[in-house]
Amino acid sequence: MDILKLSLAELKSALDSKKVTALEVVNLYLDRIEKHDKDIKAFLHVAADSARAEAKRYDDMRAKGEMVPPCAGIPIALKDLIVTKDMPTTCASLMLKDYYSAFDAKIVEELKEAGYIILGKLNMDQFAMGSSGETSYFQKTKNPWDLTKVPGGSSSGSAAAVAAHLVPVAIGSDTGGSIRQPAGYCGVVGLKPTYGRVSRRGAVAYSSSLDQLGPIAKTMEDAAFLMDTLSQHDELDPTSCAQVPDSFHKNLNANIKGLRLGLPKNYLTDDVDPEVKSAVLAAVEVYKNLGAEIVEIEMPHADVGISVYQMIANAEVSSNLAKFDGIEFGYRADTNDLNKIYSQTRGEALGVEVKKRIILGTYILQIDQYEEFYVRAMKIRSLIRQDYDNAFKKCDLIIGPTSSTPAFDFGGKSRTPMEMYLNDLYTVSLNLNGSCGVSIPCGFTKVGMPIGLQLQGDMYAEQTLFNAAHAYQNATDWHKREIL
Amino acid sequence: MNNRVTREALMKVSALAKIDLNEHEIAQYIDDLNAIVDYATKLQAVDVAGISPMVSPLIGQNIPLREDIVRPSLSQADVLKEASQTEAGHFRVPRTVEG
Repeated sequence: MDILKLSLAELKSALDSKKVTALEVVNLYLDRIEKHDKDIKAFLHVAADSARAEAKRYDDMRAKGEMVPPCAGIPIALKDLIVTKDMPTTCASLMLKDYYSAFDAKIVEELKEAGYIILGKLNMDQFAMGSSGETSYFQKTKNPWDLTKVPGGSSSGSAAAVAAHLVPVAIGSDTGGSIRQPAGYCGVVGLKPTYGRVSRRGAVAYSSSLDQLGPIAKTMEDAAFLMDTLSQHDELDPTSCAQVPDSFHKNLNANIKGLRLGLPKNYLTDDVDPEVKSAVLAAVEVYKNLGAEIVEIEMPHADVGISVYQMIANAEVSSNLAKFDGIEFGYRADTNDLNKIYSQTRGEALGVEVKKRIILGTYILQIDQYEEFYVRAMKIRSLIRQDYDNAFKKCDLIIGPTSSTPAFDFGGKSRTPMEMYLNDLYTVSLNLNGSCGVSIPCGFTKVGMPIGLQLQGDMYAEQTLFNAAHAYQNATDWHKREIL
Repeated sequence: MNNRVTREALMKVSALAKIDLNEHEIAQYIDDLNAIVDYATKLQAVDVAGISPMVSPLIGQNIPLREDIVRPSLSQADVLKEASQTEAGHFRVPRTVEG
């Protein structure tokens, strides 16, 4: 039995039937982390001792015939903006180096209650701001398919760790594409659930009207399996969805005959890499063969999505990150003047990209810029939602690329920030709308880099989305390709 | 590029945001912010007459607020444990009021 190749459901049944112990599973992954993560640098913190202790506890319970939680012994790892009581939470920033939260995030509670074993915390762009993983204060995570390429971001560590089989599944966060884009770059599945589907209590906020947590997994089936644990109502998160689904995993259905897939007109522009374009068009053909109907739709405001996103996200950043001021937690600059404590602390301990976004947000919220940029952006956000509403009258899901290019070289886009931001062109609009979307592998470039296919669904349309991604993975084997 | 974000404008905003910047950052941010703001002038071409701002994806949905009841919270010790300076159960800051 090759544990690395098991689905989460298969791993659960192997554990339940005692074909393998939780300790064997945990040790397998910890050994892989020890062996490979010095090159990949996905983990910021590895909780080897607590993971082994938990595994042993579940093994003892199983040996004694005691009841164990449903997923007892399945390893997982968390993007380092999800707060944990027993492990540091750094947001990959000097500001929170060695910070320990006084409480566990709601999803940490959910995962522990379900029996998942947390192997550690994963690297990311600092405070989730970046599209390449390069803004981490601590280290640059590498793309496991080619260590000279970025893994994408901001959930860089989550995508790289799953791709390299350092953990079977991980949690990321997606504000403008930060789960889907690195998943696309690393050849794994990245799901951005509907806004409110997964509790965000204890996820350090970037842009509160856009942020959502979700899984990065080897397959859609695994992501659906994990979503059954994560889709709980949280009355302490006012955005949390009150309707709790039955089971996405049990209801997976690969029969998608008659499913209407919308292909936006003028979506695949000349800016899209030719290899990405042909992989996406080939995926459209796969769907036709599976019985889906392709309909042409229009997304008239897609091209202004980036600017709308930048205005809204950064305005929210300037407010959300005001709490990092050196007083209650985190880094404090060495000075005895109160105002200098604020400004020097923030100047010294926040990264270049983070400070830039706070300042941009502060700039557009000034009285003489507010209407022109911020309010206007929120109005166009309404138009983008109308685009989605109109599209979903004609189709069930929207199909297209996750990113316009495959993973690029380190340093490749850092010097031209607009080029870096435009990388999120295909992903940001979904966050503005608030609905669900997924990136699944749909091919490889000639030099062997993965290409991501993005499917976008309506609010709370996860089951339709999951079924379509699952059907594609049943019909193709891009997700099975091994890193040599 | 119209260089709308001047050095003065940047310094004013970084003071409002309470962030010290070094000369290298100042030069880079002037360029970057102008590029972003310039690109955002695209937004002016969109007709938004009669359109309301969308403040949240949950707009128009009936999200009931939970009941306002007192429940256990973090202890004083938990809240203070991550502060760099504390004294007598408080966050310690430099004197701000002369007495």
